[in-house]
Order: sequence, then structure tokens, then C-alpha cells
Amino acid sequence: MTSAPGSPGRLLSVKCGLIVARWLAWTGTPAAQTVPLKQLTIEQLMDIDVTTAQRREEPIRVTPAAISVISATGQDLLHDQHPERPLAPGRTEFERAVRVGVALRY
Amino acid sequence: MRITLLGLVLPGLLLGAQTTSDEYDLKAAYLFSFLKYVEWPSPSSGPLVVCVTQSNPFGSRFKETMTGDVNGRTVEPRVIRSPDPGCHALFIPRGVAARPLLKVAQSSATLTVGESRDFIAQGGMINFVMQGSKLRFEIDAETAERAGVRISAQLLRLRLVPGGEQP
Repeated sequence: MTSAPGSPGRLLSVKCGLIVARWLAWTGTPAAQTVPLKQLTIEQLMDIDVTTAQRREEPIRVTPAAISVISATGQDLLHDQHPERPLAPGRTEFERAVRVGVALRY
Repeated sequence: MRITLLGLVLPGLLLGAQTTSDEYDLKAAYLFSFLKYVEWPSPSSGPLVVCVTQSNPFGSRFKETMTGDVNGRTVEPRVIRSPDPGCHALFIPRGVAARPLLKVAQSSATLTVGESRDFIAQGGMINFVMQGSKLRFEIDAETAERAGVRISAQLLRLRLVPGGEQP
């Protein structure tokens, strides 16, 4: 079922491929993808996945972080000096390290 | 052979529905659609006023979405600073003190729509709820009826029962 290079069948296949690629590129633009949601029925709206829970764009510094990087070799743990149990430089404790994380500070 | 396959695949791609959306785009679309399923006690030929509090989480999308006609009435968006008895529908975002707004809404036959966990318990009528990645809604039909807002059975059929599954 393969066509020889340069044959009419081969050229037709290439042309069809190009048409599909251009169509897919066109539909990939936001304007083309956006069907006005308010024209959908409630049932159709119920089938749509919510992509984000954020209300609006916001600076990354105020966005809740999913990951906190705590450097054991840097200053993070040294600065988290416990009043009763000072952490010796170079020593790490998992619980203390987790407490340093922004999301779990308590 | 390839052309046949193309003929089979293209219509499917063309008919493919939108499957994801931003939370507040979707909520705005729901809010607009709810208007089609609600009757207010004093029908008039005037506009259907849809309000949101000043903290408006929809941003500019609110006015963009709340345009057009619903059941022969023009929809008019309005951002309010204080309780407004002129609203036919009111969206109360989470984090906003709902009680004073709900009190006025109850006496002025305003459809209230919220997104807080305790919105229905506070006296709201429709509340958005996330169920996995899908947006669903609860309805307190009794509260709506007491205010004189009649919600169609078609919409009630699609609601989540508070604390339970769909009826």
C-alpha cells in the first residue's frame, strides 16, 4: 500500500497531511478553541473540567507553593535556631527541616 | 485508504467539545444559564439585572458574559457596593459577608448564587460545589420559593443534594 516517491498517490497523501497540520494549528489558537460557554446547556457545562481554582492572575510570590526547597547546606536550618535546642551547624533533623518550610510553619 | 481514514477522523475532531475551562469562566456561564430556568414573581419587560459584589472574582469576564437576551429579556450586569434590591440574580463570592446581602435578597426576590461551604445554610439558594474536577451546584428550592423565586424542575433535576449525591 506504499506509493513510490513522486507518484500522484504520494503527492496526494502529502497534501492531505499538510491540510490536516494547518487545520490542527489553526484550531490550536485560543480564539478558535473558545466556544462561548454561555451558549452551552447546563448539562454540557457539567461535563467541563475546571482547570484552575485561582480567581485571577497573581504574583508568584503570593501564590501558595506546592514545593519548598530547604537547603541543608545553606543558611535555612542555621537561621531556624530552636530556643531550647540550638541546631548545630551541619546537623539536620527531619522535623526541624520540615518546620522551616513555608507551608508547614506553625 | 488514507483519505478514508481522514474522513473518519476529521468530523470527530471538528465536533470535539470543549472539555476544560477556567473556574470563573465556567461559573459565569452557569450563572448566565441559571437565568433561563428561573421565574421571578413580577414579570416585566425590563432587563434582567445580574449583580456581583464589588470583590467581583470574574473580573472583566462578568460584563462580557452577562450580555444578550434570556427568555426575551435583556441581561444587564451590575457590580454592587451594598445590598441592592434591584438585582434579579446576585453572585456572592466566598469571603464576602453574605448575611446582609442575603437578607435584602430574600425580601426582594433575588436569586442568590454563592460558592461558600455554608452558603446554603446561611440562606443562599444556589451554591457552587467542586466535585473532583467538575463544577456542580446545590439548590435550596424552599429558600427560593419563600423569596418568590421559582426554579424550574429541569434545573432542580441536575442539582446536587446538599451533603449527598445527585437525585
